[in-house]
Amino acid sequence: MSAALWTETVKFLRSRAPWATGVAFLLPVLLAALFVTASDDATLAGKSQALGITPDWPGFHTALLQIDAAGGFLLFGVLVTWMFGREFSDRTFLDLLALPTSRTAIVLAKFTVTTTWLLLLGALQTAAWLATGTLLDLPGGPGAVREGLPDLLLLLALTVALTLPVALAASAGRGYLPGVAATVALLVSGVATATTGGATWFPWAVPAALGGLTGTPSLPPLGLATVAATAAAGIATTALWWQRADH
Amino acid sequence: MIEARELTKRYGRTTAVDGLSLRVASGEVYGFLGLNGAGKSTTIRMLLGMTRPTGGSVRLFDRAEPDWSRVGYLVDGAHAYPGLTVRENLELTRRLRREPVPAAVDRAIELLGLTPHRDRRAGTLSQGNAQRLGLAKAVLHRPDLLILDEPANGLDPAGIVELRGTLRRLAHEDGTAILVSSHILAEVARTADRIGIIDRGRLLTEFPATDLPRCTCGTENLEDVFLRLLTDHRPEAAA
Repeated sequence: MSAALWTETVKFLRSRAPWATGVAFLLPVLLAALFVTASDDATLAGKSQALGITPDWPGFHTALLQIDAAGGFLLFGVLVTWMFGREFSDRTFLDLLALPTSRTAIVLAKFTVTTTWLLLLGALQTAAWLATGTLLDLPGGPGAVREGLPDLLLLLALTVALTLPVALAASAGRGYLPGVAATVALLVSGVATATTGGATWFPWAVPAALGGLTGTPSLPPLGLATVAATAAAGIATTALWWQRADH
Repeated sequence: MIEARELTKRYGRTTAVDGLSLRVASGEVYGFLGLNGAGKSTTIRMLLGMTRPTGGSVRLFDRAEPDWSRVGYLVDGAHAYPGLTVRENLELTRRLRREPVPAAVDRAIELLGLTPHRDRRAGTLSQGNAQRLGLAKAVLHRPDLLILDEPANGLDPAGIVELRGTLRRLAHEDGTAILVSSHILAEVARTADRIGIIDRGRLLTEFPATDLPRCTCGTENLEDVFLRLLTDHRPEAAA
């Protein structure tokens, strides 16, 4: 393992971030379960119906997609922000600049650790979703799971990809606040743009469209390509900033 | 070992460093003195490739491409990952600096007197011990060039004396080239072999540290000397 990858892995694992994000990413499953099993509470049941959440596996899937489309983006964005912003908050940034290990290697190691962890969180959440649905003995089992699982995994993967550019805001803004602000701004503008049908050209609107926040869940044409290009651009510009900006 | 030629940095209309040239040879401690805002930190960041010069050039070890594995530094205070122990912080540094010998971590801990604190989290260290950790990170890989910005910050008098001894030993016994910046002449005077004074981005004067007793003229303290040197060498004074 390269020195940069080793150090970023140790820094991450020795922090509270793995536990905090692990717990936080189970909350959407609990929330979705709450909506699905809300038939006893008239107010909650009404809200669930309005959102198209039925007390079965398809409804559980819809609920989780909707929560992840917004909440997942927020959580992932915060983690990416933390990964880069901590070097400025802890004031360790300058220690990473004049080393035989290149700045690009350090940036790529940060992205690798972040992406790996976010994908693991996605797997954890998917497992929790399957386990909770089984425990609740929801009707419409295997068929609905087979249909819903690819959408859920795709949404998580897209969300991971779209939060990577937040690293540039946390780096250029030299701290947590700009990264969190960028995450919120991208989330809000993504949902707003999706409602006007702009998911075909605005990549951050794709999760909202796929999550069904604006109606029927759908993946816009070229959605995957624009998201992949956005993630690549985010990684490249962040690496370039670390390499060339005045520090 | 390190040579800067006509180094200049401008931020818009403000010139932070203006045509500064300096050279630090192997086995020499160079004291880089200036008031707050004189341009010391900007110069150091340019020497370390952290800031791009507007003009001029820097050469390390007489090579166009710097070999950072031979450089150690402490810039902008001593900082470490607060959740990691002293030893873990140094282990990260060892790997990033590509120091192949794992024992280098323990050697640095011993050299900087951090043995009682090796398993303590960096976030719980006193300011003085945090500074020692920063210095340990800088010297861990036995660099050929050491650049230290205000290294005595936060150290108690005993720590300052130890640091002085360590730096002089590294320079005179191991042949390390050391550039130490400070705004306290008295401290630099006891450590450096040669002193350069920077003011408003320009290097006003350089002289051997052994010339200092002559400058004091018997009655002035070193702070007075520093201020007089600044005044005497400013261009308006020369005019």
